[in-house]
Amino acid sequence: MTEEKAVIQVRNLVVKYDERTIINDISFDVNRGEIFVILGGSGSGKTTVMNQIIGLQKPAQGEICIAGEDIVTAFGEGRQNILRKFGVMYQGGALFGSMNLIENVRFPLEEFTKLPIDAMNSIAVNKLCMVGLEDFVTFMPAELSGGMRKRAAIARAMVLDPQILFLDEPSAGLDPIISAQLDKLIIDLAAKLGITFVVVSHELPSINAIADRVIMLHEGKIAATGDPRTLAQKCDNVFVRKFFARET
Amino acid sequence: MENKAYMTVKDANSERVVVAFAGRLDLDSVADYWRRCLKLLDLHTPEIFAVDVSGLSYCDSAAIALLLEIKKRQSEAEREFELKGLTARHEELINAITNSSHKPSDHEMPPQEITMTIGRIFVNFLGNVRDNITFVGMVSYYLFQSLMRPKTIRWKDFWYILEDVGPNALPIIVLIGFLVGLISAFQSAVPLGRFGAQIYIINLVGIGLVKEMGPLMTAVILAGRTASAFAAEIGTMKIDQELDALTTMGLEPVRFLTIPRIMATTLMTPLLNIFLIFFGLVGASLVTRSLGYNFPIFMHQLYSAVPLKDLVGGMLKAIAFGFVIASVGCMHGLKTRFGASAVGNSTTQAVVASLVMIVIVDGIFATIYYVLGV
Repeated sequence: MTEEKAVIQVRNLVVKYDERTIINDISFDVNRGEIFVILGGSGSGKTTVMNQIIGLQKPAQGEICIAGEDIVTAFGEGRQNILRKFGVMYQGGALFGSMNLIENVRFPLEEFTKLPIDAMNSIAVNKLCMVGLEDFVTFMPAELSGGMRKRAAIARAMVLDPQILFLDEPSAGLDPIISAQLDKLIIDLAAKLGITFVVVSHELPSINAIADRVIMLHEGKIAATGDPRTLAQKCDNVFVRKFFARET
Repeated sequence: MENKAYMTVKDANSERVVVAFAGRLDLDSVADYWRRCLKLLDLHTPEIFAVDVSGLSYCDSAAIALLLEIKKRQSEAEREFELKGLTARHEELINAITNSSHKPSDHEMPPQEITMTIGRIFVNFLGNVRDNITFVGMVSYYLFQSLMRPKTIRWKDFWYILEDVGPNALPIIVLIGFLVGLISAFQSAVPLGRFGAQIYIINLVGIGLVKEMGPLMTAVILAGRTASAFAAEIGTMKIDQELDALTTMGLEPVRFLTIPRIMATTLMTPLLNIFLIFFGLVGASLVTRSLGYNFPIFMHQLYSAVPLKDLVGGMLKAIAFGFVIASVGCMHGLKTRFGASAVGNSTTQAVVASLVMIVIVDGIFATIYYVLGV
């Protein structure tokens, strides 16, 4: 049953930089439609795990299946098909600095579809509406605030209607109000579009607001997994308890 | 408040060294006493080293670091260390420093053997060679693929880069070309004048510009202007994770970013070369005119001195230079690492490597032309 629900399956993942083991034999599933958070302290390997799943880096060992297809061994057309199943929002947004907002959001459509320019513009504006940036379509990324850049990056990541959205530190560097707005946006998109979210974060208020399930990384292993709101009480791991209690 | 620190040596022999500090021992004043205390330690190697800090009005973490250093050295030599006159404030500071999870003084860098350093440099060199070969292979593959399927090229980017590399570089090309022609003609006027051969200024400048100086100067200008711009632009994109974004969209950054740049630069370099040669000849003609050779004479002499094959040879060189400059600039942009100085380093490396490659390619062309008798 779990196998059917799982849209991402990570099995026995090992990541090494030179001789140093960063991630040591972890396995987990992400279920379809859930908001799944990879949680951990600074330097715990959260973004490294995400980079493995989205195929930016190759693991030393392990299997990563996205919708049943292994991204580690895929190449050519097969890899392209897997990449089309997800979108990614990077920590700083990673919008193309030489393009305005609508060009940024339209960009994947230009590359992967044969739609007429009017249709592409219309789709891009719709996506920008969904993230509340319809009044900024001609703005350059440099003219936007950090929160707006992140929302624009979500719009770009969604433009090809992916099954999964990866968000790297969506709340990082944002004030509590903007952060809460972004959390609400993620919850709305998950509910309305049925997108599976994989979020990398260490911001506890944001995680408590959005996460259906979390895994917590510590020293290269999964220290805990479950509902973040009850994790601290149920978990025996000292680090996990300290992390949630903000103790040193 | 006392702004100076004072150190008194009350006792100094192999049994016991006693020093007393007074006043304000801080970052500014501790350096001298640090040396003096360690000298006392080395000189007497005392069984007990005692420090009296009761006279201190103020001490900061630098002063505490001195006390801890003496304690550490005594402890390593299995000798004693005594500290007298500690106030509550001093103890707080010592606790704050000694309880820190980071203890840099305990951490020693592994020794750097010369053989290890040479080995590391060699491994890095081999890694660079491998990267360069991989890059050349990828560029060749994607260039061939793009030329076979022109629709895959991002023409919007191509035209933008074409404008930046070509027309936007024209003012500097014109200025340098004019000055090179003018100066070459002036410099050669005196020695040729001694033999009554000033008419051959036109031959000298014409052949020099068309065969060598034109392509070379154009390439040098583009190395400083275009290769650096490509490296900086792509390097910044890498740091901003734009290249990661392209990769996860399924677009190969090498194809996406380098092919339009290489095509535009390869196309524009010979055109800029023509402009540089033309304005160089304009500069030279002004000098020869002032020496009594009017324009028709200049043109006649030029036609007789510079055959078409020299112009074609120079243009082929310019095309090769354009390809090399763009490739090297893009490659160094893609190899940008992370950190504040990364883009600057990539830009510098791109310019230096471009200049080296230009000279190497020029040498190859010179050899080929010599063998072919061109």
